[in-house]
Formats: sequence, structure tokens, C-alpha cells
Amino acid sequence: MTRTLLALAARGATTRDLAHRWRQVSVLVGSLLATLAILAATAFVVAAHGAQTRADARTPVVTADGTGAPLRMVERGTVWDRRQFPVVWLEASDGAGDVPLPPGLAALPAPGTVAASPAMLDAGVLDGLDLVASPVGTGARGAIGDEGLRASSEMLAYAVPAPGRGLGKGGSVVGVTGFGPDAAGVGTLQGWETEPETAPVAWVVTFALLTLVLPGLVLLVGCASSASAYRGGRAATLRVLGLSPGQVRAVGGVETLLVAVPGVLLGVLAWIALAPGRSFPGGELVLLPGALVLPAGAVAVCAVAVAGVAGVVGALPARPAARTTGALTSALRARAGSGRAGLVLLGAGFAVMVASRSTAGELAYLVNGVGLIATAVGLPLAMPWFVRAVGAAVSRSDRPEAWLAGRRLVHSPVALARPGVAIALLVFLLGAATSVVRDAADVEGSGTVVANWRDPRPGDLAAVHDRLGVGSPGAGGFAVAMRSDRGATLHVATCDDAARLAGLPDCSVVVGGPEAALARAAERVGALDATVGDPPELTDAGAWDVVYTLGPGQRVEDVEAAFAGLPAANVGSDIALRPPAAMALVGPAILMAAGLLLAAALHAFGNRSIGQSADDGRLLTVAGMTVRQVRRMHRRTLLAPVVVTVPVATGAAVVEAWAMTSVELTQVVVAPLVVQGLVTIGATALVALGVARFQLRLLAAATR
Amino acid sequence: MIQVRSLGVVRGDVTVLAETSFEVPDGTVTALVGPSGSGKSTLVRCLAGLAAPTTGTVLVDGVDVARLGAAAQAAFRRDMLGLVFQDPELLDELTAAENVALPRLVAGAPRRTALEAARAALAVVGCEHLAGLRPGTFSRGEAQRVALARALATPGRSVVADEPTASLDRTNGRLVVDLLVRHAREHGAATLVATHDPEVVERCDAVVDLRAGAAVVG
Repeated sequence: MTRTLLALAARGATTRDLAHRWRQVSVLVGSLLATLAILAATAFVVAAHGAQTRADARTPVVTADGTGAPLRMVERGTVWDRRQFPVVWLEASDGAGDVPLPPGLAALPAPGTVAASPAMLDAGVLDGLDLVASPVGTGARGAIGDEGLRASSEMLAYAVPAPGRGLGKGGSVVGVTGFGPDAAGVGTLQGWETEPETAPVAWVVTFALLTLVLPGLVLLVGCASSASAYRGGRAATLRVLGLSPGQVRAVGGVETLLVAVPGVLLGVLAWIALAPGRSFPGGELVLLPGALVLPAGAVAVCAVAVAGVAGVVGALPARPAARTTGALTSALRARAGSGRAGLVLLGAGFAVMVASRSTAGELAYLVNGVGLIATAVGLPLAMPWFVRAVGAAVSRSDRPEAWLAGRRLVHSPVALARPGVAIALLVFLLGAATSVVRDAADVEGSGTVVANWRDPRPGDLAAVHDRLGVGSPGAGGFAVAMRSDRGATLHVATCDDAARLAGLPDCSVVVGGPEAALARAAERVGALDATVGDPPELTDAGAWDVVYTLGPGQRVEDVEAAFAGLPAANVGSDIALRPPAAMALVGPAILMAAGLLLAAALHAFGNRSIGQSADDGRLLTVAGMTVRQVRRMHRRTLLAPVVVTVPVATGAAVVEAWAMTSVELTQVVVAPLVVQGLVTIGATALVALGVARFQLRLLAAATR
Repeated sequence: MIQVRSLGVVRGDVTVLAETSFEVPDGTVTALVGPSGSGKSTLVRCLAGLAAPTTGTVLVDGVDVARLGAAAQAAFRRDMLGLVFQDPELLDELTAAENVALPRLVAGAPRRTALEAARAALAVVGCEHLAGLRPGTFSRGEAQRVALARALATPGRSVVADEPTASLDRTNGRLVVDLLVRHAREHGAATLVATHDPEVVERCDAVVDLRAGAAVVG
């Protein structure tokens, strides 16, 4: 019996029946893409775990009060090319014997030098910041070795103060007894890095689930339940022949499994070809060699999981490939879901999103979130109303195929809107996300830079200003001030400096005169008050910050370079940093997820077209319609919901983007959203045309 | 008149029909009988232009169906031949009247005219009360009578039915055959009915038996 069932399943899997071709291709392609998506998700999680493990291994273990440790350390964030990266300053304690070393270093850098990561060396950062490299790393060229890096693209440096200089005492200097989870100490230093090059494991797991695994499974499940008149008919025949429902399901499951397996194997081969890759389009992240290569066991588990899901879905009772427009249940659903309630909800969602512009702060996010959810829920519920309205208009046509398409849209708006709904929801959510991502890329800073350093000596500031050209004619002029860390008093040399700190060209344009200029400058840099006069002498570590306002053509990197030689120089600014390398992958990942979901939606669209082809086509040709008329009618019936729903969704995305500009979360990016909508409609039309060619063959076969 | 001349249909290595010839004069009803697989449905499909003969010709009111192009064949089905199948083949999104009017509407007839003609055809089969209803609520017999109304509303005088009573109870089956015979008599229609039902055969004027792939006219 089992052998017979297997033979039946194998026949079903390999049949050349045209009515089964769509399902065979769908299961094969769906399995391939789902395998790729799930292997990629697994590899990203494994890569993130590896990066986290290496980051843990270099996490310093500190003493309670910083004393008695063989190594003293302070971490600074340095900016280069709008990327912030950590420079870890190390200093062996006096009389210390064996000094613990972070992974990737064979020895401490020589005094006044740094051990840099390969990415820093390649980017020319050392030259730009006037730093001297020390080849004490375990990697090639004496750079920090891979075991001490999260990723190949990570910028990281270990620096040792110049001869005669030190890290001083107090402040953020910590005593380090070792690195990694095995080192003894009172605890680890949490959050010592400025910007992790790679994302936390939990974040990657969540993101991979949302952008790869779930969309991949949605596509797989959709493909594995593809319409097949052949399969539906065969299942009915097998039941008539005396097979139990379980046996019929088993045949269906094995048949699907047999078609899925080649797709899974192709997916595995594709991943094997892609896995050695370390970089991603549109992102700067470069992983360590082999980071995405999965162990054979993990690949096998993923492959079996995908094939298993396909088999289980294939074992579910086959849905008859009936005309979508005709069933009585469809008519009942149509009556039950007229879409009016959804229309009200959609309108309310729009109104609430618009209303969120009148609120501020956290409340704006809350109100907008409510509007966003109402729109996302209302959009699919309201679509039948739009589809029915379009159907009513189309059915007034004198062309028989348009008239019939209109009648179908009016009759079954819920069923016919469904593929359009999935696509519209995708367009809305992707559009909303796009407006956020675009805004994040365009934030401008004020140009204010705050710097301090450890172990200050008389003459340090003068040397820095010599390098910056402060006060020299033609240097462009940084506005310079001193901010007291204790009294929070801002010292500026002139009123013009105060005005420029406040973002104004000079003192004369400030309404209210010098006092107002000073007050605005103090407010701008977070000081309580401001005074004009010579700045005090810098002698006490951590007591003073030097504040600069960048003029035209001046960069924070210039300040960084001027301070680079000073111990643990800390140069901070609010300039718009580029997002962390891992974050730069968010956009492509969302696009990838959108691509998978769009593929799933388009498959559902094609599925519906194919499902109604043979039976419906035969019926209509008997009624005297030509094949061309039937195809035109099908195209109208299937495309109209997409053509009407996508603009509504695009409009919703534009409203959402406009609403959230009030809290500077988004930009109104109408052009990209319109392009997204057009691309979606275009992709749908292409699928419709492709499916139409196949429909023609099905129609010809059905009417032969 | 329906004329089948030396009709042969071969599919791959299988001869579905061989050298079949017969005529159905206007105003008469001919039964097409034969065991399953003898080619009854294939012959009906050849008559409707839904299948192509390998050899021979089929003429309906003098029109060689196989020589028509696809569009002309579609027009032929709309205008010249009433078709009835075992399955009523009704569109659920249309009312009964619209289903009956569909071929005329596809042909470009004014909607009002087509619907009036459809209602008249529905009255002929006793289903005028169903005109504004959709098929989802019809009984099998009602659905088949609506399908019959669609065939009888065709302007042409020829009707071809493929097992029209096979899925009906005896009462409804008789009713459908009565309507076919009455239509043939009153409108001079050449009517061919493929059937297994001896009661239907008894009501016909002639019988074509497709045993062994060839026609035996009785």
C-alpha cells in the first residue's frame, strides 16, 4: 500500500499535465527562495553570534576602584568620515608585570602609537588623524587580528599615550585585570564601545525572523498550496477509489515534497555559492572571512525544515481550483464584508494620522501609531468597497468583457480584492518605512564640537590651535569657547565668537546685543551662563571642555586630527553620523523582505488567475466568447483591484510621512513612494502578462 | 440541418472517431448513442468548434465549422448553435436572465433587447420566476432548464446537447427532453442529443449509434 501511495505521489510530482505545471513551478521556485531566505537568516544569526563572542572576549574586566590593576584604560569615540569608532587608550600601571592584552594584539603599542584594525589602515584614517601605527597586532600588516574584531570593516584602535604623558587619574579611567569572560575581576565594563559594527544577536534574530524567515515561509506556504486542477481532480478520484482522507493527504504531501526537494537543493547550492560573500549591496559592513558559512548540519536542518513545511502544506486538503467569482460562499462573504466598516476605519486612520501633527513629543508618536494601525487594518477591510465601486463603474461598459469583469468585481469584491490587499498593505508599510529611512539619512548637525583630553599640560591648547589655525588670518575661524565642567560657565573670547556658537554670523545681527548673544551661545552648548574674556589656564583633567563651532568648509575630522596626539582626547559633536554599518543593512533587508512578500502576493495573484482559467475559460468559450475576450476579461478582473488599491495605499503612506514630519521622524518623499507604487503595479502587470500566456495554453487545452 | 461527413478524429495513436457520417434534418431530434469512449462528446465538441476533426467535415446549416477561425467559431457558437451540457455551466455572478442573455450580450446586442429575449426564453422553459436570481440558489433541474433556455435563445436553428439529462432526476429529465423536442418541432431546429438514457432515445426521431467508432444510423 505504501509503495502504491508513493508511486501515486511520484506520478503526481512528475506529471506533464499542463494543469499541474503552475503548481510544479511554484513549489520548486518557492522552495528555492524559502531555502535561501532561511539559510541566510540562520547565517546572519550565526555571524552575529560569532561577532558577539569576539566582542565578549575583548570586554575588559575591571577592578572595583581602578587601583591595583596591571592596565589602565579609557575608551574614546573618534569620528572619521562621519563614522564614529572606538579608540581604546591603554596604559600599563607602574611596576605591572604581565600586562593583559585584548584579543588581536601581541603586545601593547609603543608609546605615542596605535594598533589599528585593517579597516582603519585601508581607509587612511591614521594618516588623516596624524597617528603613528604600531605593528603589534596579530593580523596581517601588524593590524589587530580577526579574533579581536567584530567584522573586517570594523574601525578600532588601541592607543598608548606619548612618552611622558599618561591617562591621569579619575574620570572614566578604569583598572583592567584582563579581557573576556574568563578573566578575574569584579565585573566587566558594559557598553564600552561607541557603536557596535555588528548588531546584537537578539536584534539580528528578531530582524532575521521578520525580514527573511516569515516572508520566506509566507512565500513557501503560498507556493505549496498553489492551485492545480489536476491535483484537485486527482484527490477527488482517489477518494472515490476508496483511499482514506489521510491517504489522499499523504499522497498530496509526498507529491509536494518530491517537487520541493529539487528546489531546496537548488537553494542550498545557491547559498553555498553566496556564503563566501562578506559584503552587502548598499552597506559598508564587511564580515570576517567565512562568517556566513554554515556548518553542514545547520544547512541540513534548514533544508529539511523547508522541505518539511512544503510537505505538510502539500498534505492539507487540496482546494479546488474553482472560479473565484462564482462560489456561493464567495457571495455570502461579499455580503458579509461590504467594506463599509473598513472604509470608516480607513478614514479614521487617515484622520488620526493627520491629527497627530497637532500633537507633540511622545503623544505624537502614540497618536500617529494609533492612526497607522487603524490604516493598516482598515486598508484591507476597505478594499472590497473600492473594488465594488470600480466594478460598478466598469460594468457600465458596452464591451462584453468589461461588463462581465465589472459584474464579477461587484459580485465577489472580497475574493477579488485579496491579492490587491496584500500588495497594497505592502506598499503602505514599505512606503511608511521608506519615509523614515530617508529622513534618518538627512539629519543635519549644528556644527558644535566639544573636546577634552586627559593629563592636560600648559601649552596643549595652544599647540592644538596652532594645528587648527585658530586666530590666524584666512583660517576661516573656528568659534572657540571654554566650558566649565563645574560651574557650567562658558568663556568666549569675543561677542562674535558667542554669536557664531549660537549659529549666527556675528554679534551685530543678534537682537538684544551682546548679552543676548552670550545667552544664546550658553543655551546652545548647554552652559548656565557665558562670559567674555580670556579663558582660564587648563590644568585640571576633566574640569574644562573646549567648544568649537565649525565654519564653512571645516570638518570635525580637522578637530579630531588636531587633538589626536593628546592622551585620550575626546572630541564629540552632533554632526550627522552615518548609521552604523549594521544599521545600513536595515533598508536593503526591508527591501528584501518586501521583495519576498511581493513575490508571495504576486504568486497569489497568479494563483487566482490560473485557478480560474481552465474551467472558467471553457464555460465562457461555450457561451461564445473568444479566447482573447476571456483573457481580457480575466486581466480586467484581476488587475483592477491592484490598480485601485495601490494608489490608495500610496496615498496612505504619503499621509503617514507627512504626519510624522511634525516630530521630524520622516520626510515626505512622494516621488519614491509613487515609484514604489508604479513598480508594484508594473510587476503585477508583468506577472499578469506572463500568466496570461500560460492561461492561453490552459484555455486551448481545456477547449480542445 | 446538421451534416456530419466522414468525420474522423485521431488523438495521438488513438482513433476516437472513424468515418462517421449522418445528418440531422431540420425539425427533428436525433439521439447520439454509444458506449463510453465511443466518441460522443468528441463529436459534440467538433460540432461546436471546440475540437478539430482529423478528417471529414461537419456542417451546421451549411457552415463548415472546422474551417472557421477562432473568432468566427466563437461567433458561430453565439449565433448559430445552441449548446447544452451535462453541467449547466452557469456563471454565478450573473442572474439567470443575464446568463441566458450572455451570448447575445457578447455578440454586442443592446442589453435591454438581450435581456427581454432572455426572459422570454426563460418563460418557455418555465423559469421566468428565476430571471432576477443568481444560480447559487437554483436546484439542479432549474439550473439545467436555465442552461437550456440559453441554448434555445440562440438565433440559429440547431441545438446540440451532450448528456443533458444525465445529472437530473426522471421528472426533470423528461421536462428537458420535452422542451428540446417541442423546440425542434416549433422552430424547425435540427437537434442532436448525445445520451445514454433509453427514455431520451425513445423520444427521438432517429438514432446514431457510435459503436466501434463508426455511426450506425437507426
